[in-house]
Amino acid sequence: MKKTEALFSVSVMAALTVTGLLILLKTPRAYSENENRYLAKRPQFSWEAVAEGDFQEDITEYMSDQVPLRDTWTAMQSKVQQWLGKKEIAEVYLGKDDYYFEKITDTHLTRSRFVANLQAVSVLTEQLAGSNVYFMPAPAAAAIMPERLPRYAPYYAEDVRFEQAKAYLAEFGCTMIDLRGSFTMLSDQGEQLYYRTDHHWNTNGALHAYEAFAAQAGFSSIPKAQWNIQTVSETFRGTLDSKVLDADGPFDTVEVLFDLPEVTVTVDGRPGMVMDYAKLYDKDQYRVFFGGNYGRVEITTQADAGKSLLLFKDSYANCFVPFLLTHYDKIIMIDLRYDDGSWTELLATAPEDVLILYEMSNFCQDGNLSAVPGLLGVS
Amino acid sequence: MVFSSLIFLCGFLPFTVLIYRILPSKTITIRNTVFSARNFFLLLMSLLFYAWGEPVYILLMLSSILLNYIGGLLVHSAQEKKRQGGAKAALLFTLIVNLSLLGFFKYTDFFIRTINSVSDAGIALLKIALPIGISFYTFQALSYVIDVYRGDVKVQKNLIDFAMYVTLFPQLIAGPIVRYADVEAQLQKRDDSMHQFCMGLFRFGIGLGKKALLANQAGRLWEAIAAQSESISAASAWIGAIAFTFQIYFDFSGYSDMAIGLGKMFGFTFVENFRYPYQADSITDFWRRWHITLSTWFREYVYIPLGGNRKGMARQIVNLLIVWSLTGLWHGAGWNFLLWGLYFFALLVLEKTLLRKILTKTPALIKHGYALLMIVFGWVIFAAEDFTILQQYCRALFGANGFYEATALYHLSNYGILFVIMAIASTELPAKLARKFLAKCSDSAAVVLQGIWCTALLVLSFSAVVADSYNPFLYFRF
Repeated sequence: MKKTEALFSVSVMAALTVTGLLILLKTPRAYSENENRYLAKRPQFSWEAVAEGDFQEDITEYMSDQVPLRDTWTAMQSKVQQWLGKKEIAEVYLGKDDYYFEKITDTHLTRSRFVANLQAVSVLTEQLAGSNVYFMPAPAAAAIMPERLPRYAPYYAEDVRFEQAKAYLAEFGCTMIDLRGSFTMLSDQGEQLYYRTDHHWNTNGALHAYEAFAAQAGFSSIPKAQWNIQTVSETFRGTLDSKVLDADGPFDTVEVLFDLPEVTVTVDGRPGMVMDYAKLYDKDQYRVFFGGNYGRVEITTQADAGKSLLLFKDSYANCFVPFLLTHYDKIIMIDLRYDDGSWTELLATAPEDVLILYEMSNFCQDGNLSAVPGLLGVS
Repeated sequence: MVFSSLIFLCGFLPFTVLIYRILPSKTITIRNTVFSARNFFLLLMSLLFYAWGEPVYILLMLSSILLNYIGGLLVHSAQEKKRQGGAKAALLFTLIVNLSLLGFFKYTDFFIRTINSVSDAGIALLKIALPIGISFYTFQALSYVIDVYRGDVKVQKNLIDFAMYVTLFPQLIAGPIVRYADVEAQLQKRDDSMHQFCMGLFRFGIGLGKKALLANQAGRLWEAIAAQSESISAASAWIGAIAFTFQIYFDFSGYSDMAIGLGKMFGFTFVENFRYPYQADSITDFWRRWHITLSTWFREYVYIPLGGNRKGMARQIVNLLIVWSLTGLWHGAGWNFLLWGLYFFALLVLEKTLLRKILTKTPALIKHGYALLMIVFGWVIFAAEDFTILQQYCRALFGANGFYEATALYHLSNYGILFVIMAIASTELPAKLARKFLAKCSDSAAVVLQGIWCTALLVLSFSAVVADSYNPFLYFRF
């Protein structure tokens, strides 16, 4: 018995020691793809930092960031949670048919921010009196397929926000494009409009948004059959998967448009591209569209359509814009999260069409739109 | 430093164990004082453990140690010279300084806020950060000086041993409140056997599991529900209150298990702090099972000196009122904690008077139901840090926002299994079954089985610790 006790005690202590030494001695990992963030660097020792307690905090953070097999440990915890019957992990609902959904409840959203963002849209509309201004909020996957949410799972009242936005913007001459009806119908007919492991709509979802937009903006959309849609990846695990980290979880298929017209793209002043296929080797394969998000993306096409589009957007626009390349001579995408404010000069160029495209809950929570009236000198 | 952190598990703990074991257990005697290298090392590591989170307040703790060490010596030397008055003066002086320090660091801002709220004095808050564990180590040190005065323990002349007793890292920041009398002998002679170490490790594994696998989960549900207290239905409010009931038990008793386990790993035997409190069949019974070392402390050093129950019912009620006001305030500088203490005072007095006869005739099931209901409601008072939230939450509990909504059903489906596990884990059933089963095994088989169980708990807890780096102990506030 003594031997067994000694063996057990020594093994546990040895395992802990080895883990501790590995954390301290191995070369630190700089970046965590799953979390999409840089990991803590080895803290610098100074007596000052020790007295303030900063050094201790940094060490604590360093150790949890750099623990060997960090993602495996986290994935294990995710499994434990699932065994315990949990229906959500790290604010992600584990839905039916292998769908993950971002958990957004009314507590996440404040009314004042939503109203401020609607005001920003109305100010933009007024300032762009010569342009057609469209507001097209993307519905969230969970709102289109509520039947796939875990039973009784709370979700924010997206319908209420849609109706409020519609009522508010009607007064300002901004056309709101409501995708909920067509998306719900298509989804009920069995079409997949969203990724399972990522919060974005997929290329098929974007196609239907494009059709709805074309109908409102007064140009005829190219029918689905005429697009060359090809699968370029079957190993995509998106942002929601990064939170759940289930090794046995589903994979997504990434479809993209082939045979796109030749265009010139600049991103934040540098040359860019519509399709960045190298990104398919990254964790976040959604970045195959434009390579990710930038403050300003300018696309010059050879469409000779006689009009241009100014787009205020979040990442949902990235797989949507490729559909527009034959319909506009110039498309400028502004992502207010990364832009330096220089976009205000674009208003003078009087683009024919202006589109504001955000996923609805993103729009409700966005912290950059509210600066728009100030930047335009409207208080 | 918290026990459920990587720096403790993979750094501090194995290092301290290793060096402790390498150091000779033999002691050296210089001028009648016994010095132990192991004790000195434990003192150093305990100071490091404390300084990790509170580098500045280490000075406060060192002063507290010196104060009580000298206080003990003064009391003792006055008694040697048969000067009872001198001993009393020394005791009073030590008590006053101890309690002033505790009062200043813990209650000043509470006091100022109270004055501001009843007058328009508008005194600026001092914004004093509460020194971690001050309520625990002050009470421990006090037990020493008082017991020296009473002649219950011998004076400790070895400053290292005394300082080690006050700072001993396993129980430094969240108890149990180890009275000096309980470990006096162990300061010099401990059971440093491998068996004791291994049993300590098993116990530590169970405590870590309670904290990392159960308490933190329950805490997440409680936080989610409490954040919406202005709109939740009665069903959600009760689910939230039950979640907090589980959270605080597994958090605190898990911490005590870890402390007791770590104590064993360094040869100490600490008194138990919990005895399945949710199995209580009355509030009187509950307080014999919950945070036992605190109740014992108040009984020994406040209730009994005040006369306890020996001076008639009226006096007993006054004594209880004093003890329970203090118990409430000990838990935190806030009116809700005082209210919480008074709530239990009222229940205890009721149980001693009106309910006394009724309870003896009541079937066990109803008694347990009554006790649990009162306990859960008590935690609502405890958890709500201001009266507006408390009012809001109480209204929700009684159905002001309706009796149930879909979210309540969601909480149940999401946490149902966990609730069942926690309910079973808070009774003595698992321990009883394990004991019965292990008794049938050979000694080695019993160790192997416990080893497997402990390893599983450690691995799962480790994964939980890695999975959520944000991990403060609830009882840090005290």
